[in-house]
Parts: sequence; C-alpha cells; structure tokens
Amino acid sequence: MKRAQLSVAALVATTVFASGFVAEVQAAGRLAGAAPMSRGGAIHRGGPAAGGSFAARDRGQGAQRQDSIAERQEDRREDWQDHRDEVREDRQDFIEDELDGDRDWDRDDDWGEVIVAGAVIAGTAAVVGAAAASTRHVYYNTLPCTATTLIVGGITYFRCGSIWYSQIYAANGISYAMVQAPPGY
Amino acid sequence: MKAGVPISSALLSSLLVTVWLAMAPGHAALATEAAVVPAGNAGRVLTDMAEFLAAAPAFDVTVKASHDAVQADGTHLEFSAQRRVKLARPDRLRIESRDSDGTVDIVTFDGRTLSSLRPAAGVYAQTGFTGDVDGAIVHFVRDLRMRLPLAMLLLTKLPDELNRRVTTLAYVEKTAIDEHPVHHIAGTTDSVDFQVWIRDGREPVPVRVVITYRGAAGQPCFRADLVDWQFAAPSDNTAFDFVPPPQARRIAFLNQVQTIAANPGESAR
Repeated sequence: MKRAQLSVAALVATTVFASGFVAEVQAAGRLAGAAPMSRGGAIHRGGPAAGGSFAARDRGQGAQRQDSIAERQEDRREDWQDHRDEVREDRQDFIEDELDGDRDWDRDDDWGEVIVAGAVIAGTAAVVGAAAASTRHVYYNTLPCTATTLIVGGITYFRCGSIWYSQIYAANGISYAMVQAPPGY
Repeated sequence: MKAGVPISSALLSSLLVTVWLAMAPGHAALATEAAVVPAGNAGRVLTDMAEFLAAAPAFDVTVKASHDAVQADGTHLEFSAQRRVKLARPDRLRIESRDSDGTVDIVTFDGRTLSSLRPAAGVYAQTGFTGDVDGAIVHFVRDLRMRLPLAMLLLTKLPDELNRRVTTLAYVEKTAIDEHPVHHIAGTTDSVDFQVWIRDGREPVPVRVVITYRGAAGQPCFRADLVDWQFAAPSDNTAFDFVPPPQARRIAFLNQVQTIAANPGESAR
C-alpha cells in the first residue's frame, strides 16, 4: 500500500514536471517565433511621461480646451514672429517640432513646463519637423562629413564647406544640428 | 478621479493663508509646531507640503523615478532614472542624474551661471543667468528646453503653482511607506491625474508621486519615490560649483545657436 502511494506521488510529480517542461518548450517556441516589438522603429525612451511634469498637452480629453489654448498661443506667436526674419521663423518651427508640445501655455505668466518627446535618433540622422516639407530640421548622431572644428564664442562649431553644424545639448540627448554660421563667418 | 471634489482657488488660497499664518515665525517654527494633519483634509495636507518645501532654506533629496515610454506599436516600456537634488536658496542648485542606460548629467547653478555637463561625452553647455533658483529652473525648462522632472517641487512658488493648476482633489487614505505614516492624496490638473503620498508629521515632505498623462496616447505614467530628505544647510558651496573635466568641450543649448532647415532631400541621409 505504501509502495502504491509512493508510486502515485512519483507519477504526479513526474506529470507536473513534464507538463511544466512541455509548457516551457511551448513558450520557447512562441518566443522564437515572436514578432519584434516596435516594428520598423527604434526604441523610444521619451514621451510625455518622461518629463515628470504636472502639465501636458491633452490630446484626448480636454482637447477642445487645448485647441483654444493653442489658438491663443498661435495668435501671440504670429504677432511675435512679425518682427522676426525668416531664419528666426525656421528656428521657431524647429523648436515647435522638436518639442513634443506637451506644455502648459495656459496663462501668459505660465513658465511653460516642457516635456520633450525624446525623439530617438535612429541611424545617422533623424528628421524633425515634417509638418512643412520646406522647413525640415535634421539631427545627426555623428557628423555627416569630415569637418573643420572651430571654437567661436566659446562654443564648438563644425564646418563642412559652407554648411555649419553645432552639437546641441537638449533634453532628449546630444546631437548635431545644422546651424547658421556663427557671427563673423 | 471622479471621486475627487472640486477645489476652488478661493478655498486653496484660504488654506494657504491659514497655513502661512500658522507658520509665520519661520521654517524652524514650522518644523516644531506643525501638528499631525487630520486625515481627510486633502487641501490642508497638500498645502502643508507645498508651504514646507517652499519655505525650506535648503534641502537634499534623492528621486528614484521611472516613466512609461509608449512605443510605436502601442506597447509600454519603463525607463528609470535616479536624481540627487541639492538645493540651497536663494541661488544654489545641483542635480546629478543617472538614467537607466547609464547616462549621467550634472546640472549646476551658482547664482550666475547655469551649466549642464555630460561627463561621458566630454561635453557641457553653459549659459549666464543671474537670479535665484526659481528663475534658473524656469529658464532651464522653458527657455533652454531641458528636462527636469518634478521641477515644480523645487520652486518657492510651489503653493501658487498648485493653487493655479489643481482642479480636483481627494483624500484617499492614511497609509504607510517605509514604516512612516503618510497621507495619500489624489488630484487632477487640466491635463494630468496625480497622486502624492505626503509624510505625516513635522516634515510633510512628498515621498511618492505618480502622474498619469491621461490625454497622451497610452496614458503613460511618471512615478517617483523621494527618499533621504535632508534639510541641513550645506556646509560649503563647492558642490554647486561647475568644474568641467579636463578636455571637456563646450557645446550649445538650443537657444544659443540658430538651427536651420535642411533641404527636403537631405532628410534621407
């Protein structure tokens, strides 16, 4: 009788072990065939929550209110930009595009906590600012040319022919961007 | 947050005035006289916390944070970062952060210069800014477009910021974190839901914060545990001095160069 009990126990244990093993094998099989996450894109580290801000652009609930805020801001921006030249306008576009726009522009005295999208630079370059095809700004992980290094006003610039680059220290990392030639060049 | 009750500016203002009057003798008095807040009064708890931090001449805290990053296919990934924040009012600040990928950034402000250093890359950016910590933080986030999670908690105008932003507030429960009794408060602003756990007692500091970006795709969250709060004035100010490593190169903040657009064809490079 005792032997029979042991046999039953052994059988149960073997069955549990075997079923676990089979489950693992099946899981491994599924893992082997699993599709890659974020297909076609790099891992994205940023987004609205990365900033830890108490303000964010609301794209779902409250979107209407945010639209109103955006419109007011746009009005102010247009007035403001009337006094700027085209290059300045491009830069503004760049900032608007680069930043995810998650900010609180609710009131004029608001200091506008900003959350940066943390745009990941995939490969050599990433395009930022696709809203207008004529005003695309490009980030580079590495310089796309063999550059001459100059220090102007304490800041390091890189020159490739007539094109100037500068490294930018921004919320989403350090990268190279095409910039206006520094003063005097 | 439907359980929350609307909180009017007038109510919060009156709470602020009441608490301010109770604390008028100064921060030291605040530390000794503040009584345990009765459970259930979310506005009072939040105001106590805001006034306490705003009045602190100095503090040192470690922030262990994480956030959800929503991927292109909708899945969530969590990334973490740890920050050591040293603040000495009126005009000293140092924040050393280490992201989960090992990236270290050190931000310093000494009353005249605001600097950000990334040692591993051998680069730093720097800009002149004369003013107090409040001004430097606003400049850093708004003008330089840098990231500083929970920046609002570092400002002397924290009570005003909360007063202006909070739309609903609720007392969830009295619980404990690390064996300290805490008040669990939940609230909303126009764009986020937040929860904050505030220590009960003479030092009503926030020990945990969760922010949910309800309007963002995937409703990602930011979470932070704030540990090792210290309020002793720093023995010296050298921690706030910016000392770039040898060979470090100065690069630009966004507002220091004029980036220009590339031709459309260049985007594929």
